[in-house]
Amino acid sequence: MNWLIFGLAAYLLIALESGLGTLLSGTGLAPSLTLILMVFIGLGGAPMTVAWAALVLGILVDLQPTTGAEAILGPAAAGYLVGAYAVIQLRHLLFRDSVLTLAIMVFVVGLFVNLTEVAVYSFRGLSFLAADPMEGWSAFDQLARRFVQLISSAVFALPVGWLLFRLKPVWGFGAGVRAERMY
Amino acid sequence: MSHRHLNSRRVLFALAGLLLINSQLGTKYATAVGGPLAAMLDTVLGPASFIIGGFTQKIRQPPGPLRYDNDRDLAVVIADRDKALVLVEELRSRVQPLEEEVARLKRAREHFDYSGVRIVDARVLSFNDSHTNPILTIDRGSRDGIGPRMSVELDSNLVGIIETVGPRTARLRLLTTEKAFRVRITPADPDAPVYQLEEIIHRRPDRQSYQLDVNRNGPGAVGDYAFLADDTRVFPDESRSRIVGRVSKIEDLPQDPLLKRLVIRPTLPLTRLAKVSVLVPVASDEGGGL
Repeated sequence: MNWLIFGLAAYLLIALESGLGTLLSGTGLAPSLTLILMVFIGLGGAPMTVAWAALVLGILVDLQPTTGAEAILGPAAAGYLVGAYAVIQLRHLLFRDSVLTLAIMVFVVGLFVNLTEVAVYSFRGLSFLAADPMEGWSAFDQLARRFVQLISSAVFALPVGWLLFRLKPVWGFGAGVRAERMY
Repeated sequence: MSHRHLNSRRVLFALAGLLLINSQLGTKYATAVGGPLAAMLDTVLGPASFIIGGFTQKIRQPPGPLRYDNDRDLAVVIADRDKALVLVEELRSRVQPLEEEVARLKRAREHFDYSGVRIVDARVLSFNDSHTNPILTIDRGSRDGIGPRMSVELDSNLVGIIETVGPRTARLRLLTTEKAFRVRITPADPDAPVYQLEEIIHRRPDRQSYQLDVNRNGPGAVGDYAFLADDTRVFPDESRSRIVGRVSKIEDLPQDPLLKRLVIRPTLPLTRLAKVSVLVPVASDEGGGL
């Protein structure tokens, strides 16, 4: 994979995501464009490349926290890694070059990502750990909001995915990708 | 499996493990690495966020198009025009008291205490839509003299406080993040009997408004102003006496008929602000001065 293109795409999508957050504020419908990018790379990249890209995107999401003003590195990074593992396991069953596949996978993989992220944040509230509980945290509330956001992300995956698939040649995904496994 | 591939996998798992451990540390330690990195990312994203954020703010409330068929009868058009003129007059009569109130508030602003502070105007780069803790990122940072826990307002209406600061950007925590604080409620109507009710208001489950239970026959009416009390410990001293919100409605309490509940909403649409002002204490700002 061409990491320069990855950097550019990540930069643009994160900036666009924050812009859409402003546009759709209060609706809870702001999509996760980084998740769409991760799934797109997951469908085409080599397993280790997908894992690294997911980790980088997860860290970038952690640095733009939605749960507190302070950036705690880890929850989204772990979530995106689990999501990368899920997409690598599932992609052999799918027709990968379809935008519809991308949209469906955004929803499915997003479930793994968000469940992991909410779980990691919720663990902070456990008494035997050193972490402070998140202020105003409600796992059920978070899951409900993230589920709505996932639907929005899946819908946004159609136009964004179409654009990404059009630019697929410049991404430089290798031809021998399909035979590789992460473990 | 090649040596390089194996090493890459080991590094990946080690990094993931470290991040997982980091996520379970106390906030002070967990944010030690993330804080500076987040400030750097905000700086890098600043130009793009500014352009996209500005663009989305412009398209957020597009003016409604005027639709009119060309084949309509002139008499119908004239009748519609007359109806529109009546509506315009009605709107004017509604706008007039609002303009008077705006003028009164502008006059009142002269009474707000801005001594000892320097006002730094900032634009909102992005809004992070979060139910638990919504955050605004602004285009001013430590290079402009902004530091943590500084008060942020707009036209004497309290917006929130600065949470984290980077060289050119800062993140602020909105007023509605606070669970409870002390306010002073005063009547908006100049003809109403003068009173000052100083009590602690508590955030409602919607996280966008506050409530206060008072005696049913006591003061408190729709439209009354809630100012931040002087002895608040939640907000910095510079934000004293700033407008927190207005009483938007009064609810009955079936379980206690002797009380009524004042619902207080912020006067500003906090999640849709395009600009804010940061109150920088002059003492903490070396290049300061009003």
